[in-house]
Amino acid sequence: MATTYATENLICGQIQTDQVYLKADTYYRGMPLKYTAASDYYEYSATGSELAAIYLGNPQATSRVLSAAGYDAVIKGGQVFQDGFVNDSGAALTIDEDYIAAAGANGFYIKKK
Amino acid sequence: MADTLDKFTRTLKKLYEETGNMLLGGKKGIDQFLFDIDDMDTSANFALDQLIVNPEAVAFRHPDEESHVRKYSSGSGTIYEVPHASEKTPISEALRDAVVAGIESTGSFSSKHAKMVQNIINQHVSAHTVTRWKMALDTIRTGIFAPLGIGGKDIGIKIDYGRDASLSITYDFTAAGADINEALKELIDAYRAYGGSYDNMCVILGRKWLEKFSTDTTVIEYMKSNQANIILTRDILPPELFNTQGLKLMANYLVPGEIAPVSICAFEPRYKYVAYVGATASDYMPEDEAIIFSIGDDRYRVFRGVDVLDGNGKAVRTVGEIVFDSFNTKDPVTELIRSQTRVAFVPGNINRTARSTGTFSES
Repeated sequence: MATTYATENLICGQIQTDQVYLKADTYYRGMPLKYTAASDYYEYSATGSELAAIYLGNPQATSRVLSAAGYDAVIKGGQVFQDGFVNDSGAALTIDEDYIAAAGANGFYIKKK
Repeated sequence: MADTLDKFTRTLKKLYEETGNMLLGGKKGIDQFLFDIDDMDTSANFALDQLIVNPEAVAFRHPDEESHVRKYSSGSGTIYEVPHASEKTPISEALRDAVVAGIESTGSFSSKHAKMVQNIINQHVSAHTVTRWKMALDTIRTGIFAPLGIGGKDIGIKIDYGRDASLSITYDFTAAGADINEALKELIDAYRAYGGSYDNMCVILGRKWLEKFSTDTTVIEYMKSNQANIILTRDILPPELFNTQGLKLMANYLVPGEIAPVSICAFEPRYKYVAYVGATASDYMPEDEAIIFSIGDDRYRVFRGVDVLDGNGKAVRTVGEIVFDSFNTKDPVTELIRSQTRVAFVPGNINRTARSTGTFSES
């Protein structure tokens, strides 16, 4: 069986992290999250202007299933790769200039590939 | 009010210092006592192969009959991810100006700074120590290694060793005829049923269990009678078992109906456990629980590699109970003292431990 080895494709500079309360969902490293104040939790959103955090979790695991809302690690700001973003299925998320500009306002500097 | 005379008011300050549960010189921590095999390496994970077999008896046969076939039990292997813990404390410009407890305000900057760094290191060491103590006890109690995140929250890195449910029992002290001897017997029975060893059997009792033990009529009767065959030894000044800080050996006791004595202990270090900032201080050993294990069983205290900065600011990988480094932010000038560890408590066989949770009356 072929094996692929880990590569870093999310963190590319100084980052700031936190542990926050997340909505029940399946989380993949690199999922952009928004904050839903009415529910007091973070959840997936692919809209750049809503980017409040990026799911970090455990990089050795491919994903984490939160069957109920719970806590995990997120990136709250800093330099991240354009390539590292994934959607809520874990597939690559297309990050365009609109997204990069909007995310910049939220403290995320997205480095292009 | 300005004084014209410089008064001779005091001598040099005395410093009275207490830093939580620091491990005292010459003592061992309960994490080392419970998980007595250290495994240190700069790698990331811990691999454990388990080959746990209890072969059945052989089958006899008639002459000229074919041999019976005995299958080989191959065992199984598991790779455990060892989680990181790291904390940093900033020394800002304001702190560098501040007077440090124990050093005179007229003291030199270097002596104040050295004392401050030493205090920070002590506080980090104490924090790591109490975390390890609690995690080691909890692993034996629950069968789950549970590192928690900020605010004591589960962040999905627990390791559940899958202890059999029959090893977590309950005992109702409020039922008619219930007493500590029956409670201990049931705990030992549960432990023995899964192959627990009679050798060096040890129980750690919570406070309410201890109270039951100390006031039990049978135990008191043994204490009173000076029998030739001693079935209870108690010291009015309980020693620390194997020089383990806070682990008091209350008695060596042959529970009625059992064939080997058990060391009855209580874990009561100086300070209670505070899980996170703002958490209520709690007992290390919950008051309504008792755990049993053999001191001689193999359990692993695993440390793995952490990435730190060396003297030149280069990233290096090293391993240790706690690894310190420091780094600076340039503007404003802030020095950050950082402590890191990567630790897991892995029992050789979690089914060699058991826990009983008691039900007590309200009083």
